[in-house]
Amino acid sequence: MGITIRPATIEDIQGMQNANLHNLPENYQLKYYMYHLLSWPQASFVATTTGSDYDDTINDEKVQAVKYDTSYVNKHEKIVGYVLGKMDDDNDNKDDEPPHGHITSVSVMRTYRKMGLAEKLMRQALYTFAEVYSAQYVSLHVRKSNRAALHLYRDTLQFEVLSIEKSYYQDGEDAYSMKLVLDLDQLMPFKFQNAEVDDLESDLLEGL
Amino acid sequence: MSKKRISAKPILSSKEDNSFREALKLYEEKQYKKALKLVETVLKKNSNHAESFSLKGIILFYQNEKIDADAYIKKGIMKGARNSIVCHISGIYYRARAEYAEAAKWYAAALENGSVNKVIYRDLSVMQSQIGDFAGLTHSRQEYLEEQPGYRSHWTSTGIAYHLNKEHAKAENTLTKFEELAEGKLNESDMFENSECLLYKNTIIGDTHDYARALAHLDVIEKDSKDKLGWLELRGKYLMLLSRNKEASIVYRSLLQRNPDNMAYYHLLETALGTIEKGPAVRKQLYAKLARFYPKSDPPKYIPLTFLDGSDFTAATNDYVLAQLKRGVPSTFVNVKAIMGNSAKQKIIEKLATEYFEGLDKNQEPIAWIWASYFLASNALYMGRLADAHARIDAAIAHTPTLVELYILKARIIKHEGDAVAAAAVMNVGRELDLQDRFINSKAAKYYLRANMVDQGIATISMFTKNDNAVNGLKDLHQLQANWVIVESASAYLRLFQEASAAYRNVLTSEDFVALSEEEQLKIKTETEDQLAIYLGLALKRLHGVVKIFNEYVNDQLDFHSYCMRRGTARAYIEMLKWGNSVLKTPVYLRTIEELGKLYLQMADAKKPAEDKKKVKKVKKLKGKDAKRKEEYIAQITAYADDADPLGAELLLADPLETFYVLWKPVNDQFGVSRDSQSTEIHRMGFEVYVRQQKYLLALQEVNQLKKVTDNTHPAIGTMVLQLKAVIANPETSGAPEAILKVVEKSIDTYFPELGELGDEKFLAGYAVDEVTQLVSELAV
Repeated sequence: MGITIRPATIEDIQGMQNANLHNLPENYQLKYYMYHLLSWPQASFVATTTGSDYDDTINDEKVQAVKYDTSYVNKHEKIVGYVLGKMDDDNDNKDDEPPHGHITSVSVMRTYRKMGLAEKLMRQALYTFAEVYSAQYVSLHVRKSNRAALHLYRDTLQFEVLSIEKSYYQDGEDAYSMKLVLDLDQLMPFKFQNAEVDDLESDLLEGL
Repeated sequence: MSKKRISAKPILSSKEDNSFREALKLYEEKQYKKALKLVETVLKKNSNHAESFSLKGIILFYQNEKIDADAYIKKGIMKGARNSIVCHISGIYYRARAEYAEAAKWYAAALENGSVNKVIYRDLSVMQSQIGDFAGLTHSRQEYLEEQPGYRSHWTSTGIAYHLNKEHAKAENTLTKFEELAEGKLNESDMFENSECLLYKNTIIGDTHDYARALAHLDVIEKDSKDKLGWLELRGKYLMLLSRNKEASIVYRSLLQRNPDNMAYYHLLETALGTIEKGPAVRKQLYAKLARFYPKSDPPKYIPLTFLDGSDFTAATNDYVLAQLKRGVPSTFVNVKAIMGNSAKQKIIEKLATEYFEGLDKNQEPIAWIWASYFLASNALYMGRLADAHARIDAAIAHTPTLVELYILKARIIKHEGDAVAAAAVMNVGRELDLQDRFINSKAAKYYLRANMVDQGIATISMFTKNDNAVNGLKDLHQLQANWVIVESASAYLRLFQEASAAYRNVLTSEDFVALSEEEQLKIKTETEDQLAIYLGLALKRLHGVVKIFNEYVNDQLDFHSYCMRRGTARAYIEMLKWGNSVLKTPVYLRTIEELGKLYLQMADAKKPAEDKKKVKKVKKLKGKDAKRKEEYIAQITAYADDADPLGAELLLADPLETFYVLWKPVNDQFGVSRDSQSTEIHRMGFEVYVRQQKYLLALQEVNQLKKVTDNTHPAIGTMVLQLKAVIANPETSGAPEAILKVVEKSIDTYFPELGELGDEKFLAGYAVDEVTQLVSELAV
């Protein structure tokens, strides 16, 4: 049951809603997820488990029991994290504002933490924002008390803190308002592997 | 523009028509009171003015007088079914009631009866999209396009309509026509929409299986395609379908550079390279290379675990599992759980982890020690060694009593030991360690619900909901569509009902009870039956709560039939329609329908004719403390604002068979004749419903579908066929005409020809299942 990161599709939205309801206090009706995926189909990603679909050496009987669990979108595919992204183009009056993206929600199930899933989901979203939607920058809000998230955005992904928005959340907590200016070339995901680069030409099977 | 706009061109200019038009205008301005007054004066003067009946109906509808509204709409139709204004208003009315097929019928009738209001085509096409009338859709989209050809969205929507109706050439031509018209006239702000439309057209070409042309077209649109990832995925697919594997492999390598964590790309790359046939040795080296390119990604390390054996597997596991344990990855066990299905591999993994654990000093390397304990406890639980699992997790908690994950696992172990209440208590200890975290809160709530402690569960989860002035978050949870909470609550109420019913049966026959006076007996009976009705009513209420949410899901599509046309997101839109056509097959929905089926079938069988007469039981007025207690209880379980039936008492009185049939039918329709193994229970229930409705041919269809889905192996098939055979053998009690019974008899012979040869007993024996298999299959559900 390795973990895969892939673009979200409409088939995933119930699993995303379920993950969101389990993990976060800010929740949305399904239609809001539909609105994201049908407006910006490439701006959201999911992290899912993968099962023995890819592996026929496994005795399937013990891997069943997916029935009835709201986090499964397929027999072996359980949504364990997601990033829900949108372009901030609701305000037509801000003509001088360049196109920019906004992260509506990110979440990874507690039991799937420490694998860097949130970072990987974010890197996919950031690259898409720049490439597909020509976004110049991306903005988001973080709870002031959420130190792990702050660390991810500020230290790992290099967002800057723009301001503190007082009582941004329903329960009265303040939010950091953060922003990252996007540079398409630098954002190509493989570059963060800091490793040997596939030249896309040589024969992968040579000498094997 | 208002969706409710009705343009009424003067047909007759009598005084009444003038007043009617004025009333119509007031209605459109939402001045319902004034409009109503005026339309009533028209009706006073001319009691045959059909349009006015309809208008009064729709006004009443928006004033929330739903019952009167319906009567007036129907009167309008009765007096003027061919009046275009009557038809149009009826269309609007049924749309507002979310009866989309009916709305489509009346919108179409408005146009057929001479309405010149072309906007109706737009509204009609939304209805046709929602109900899947794609043939009708091509016509209305085309008509509206001809009316207003200046918008790309009208070309896109017409192209989509042809595509949905499987007229691929027309679809492609329509989209191409606009491209030609727009050549050189697009702005920067149109480029996303343009890119989506071009890629959509490419998928239409791909759908015709002409992959060479689709591939060539991809090259043409390359510079205008902003969704490069989607473009590359299509290119890889076409190259593979054209057996140009070498080129495809390069495509998948560039996709891996974009997303080295997508497992699917690795498998597609292997398919392109043909390495799966080349065997584990080659694959091992391939993944070693890929892991060098993508050392931070999971798939190149994980996938080899699925194909390696022996010492290679041991080495790979060492790298994968132990590295994660050292880092303290909570999901290390879950990450390899799928591989554990292979018992040889399970043994190796367990051995390695145990050796690693035993070599650790819990004081020197506390983090590694704790996660290794956690891993081994998970493994013991998976292997069914509950005592071992319990001991390991207790030791871990004794070492680090502040780690939430340990309590999650301990609670799971105790749940498997069979003590739901103790499991919930342990989960709650975990929750108290991190009050900010909703995940552990949700877990604790779920465990309370599993322990039938519904109030406690809801109180717990309400710490994270928006409660406003309510005593808890139940309304918020329903509004935000928290299916998991609602369905778990329903199951809890059901278990409470079953437990209380069993206890009640015991009480009724007990010596103590028999010794009581008639009055005292009656008191106990009334109280217990009231409590039972509350449990059952609430179980039904919650199950219907899930049904309501799935109705919302289905109807949520409505706005997107026009919205996506404007944005150009046609590919995502087509995916949405597919989703809408299968959303009722979602596991949680099947669970809901199956629970409802069990209940309603039981209710249908239990309902004695005598009880029918005293349908509404007199509710005794409660006084003083009792009244207050009841009021407080109702506040706690109310799921919707202004709910007239918070306890679900009315649900108990509805016709169970008819109610269930209406819920069951759409699910059965979504399965259709597919051989989806998830559908077995749905077919079994369909059989039970149809037999009770005396629709034996339909009942037989369900048996036949069950036969197909399970390759004639489902143990219930034999009994079902014989049951049907017995019913039709008795024309008097069957309730069906003899001609029909003959057809059923013949059909049984067609579907199950072996029945005649074998005779009942041998036929039934063919489906018999040994007790162990039966037990295992029941436990597995």
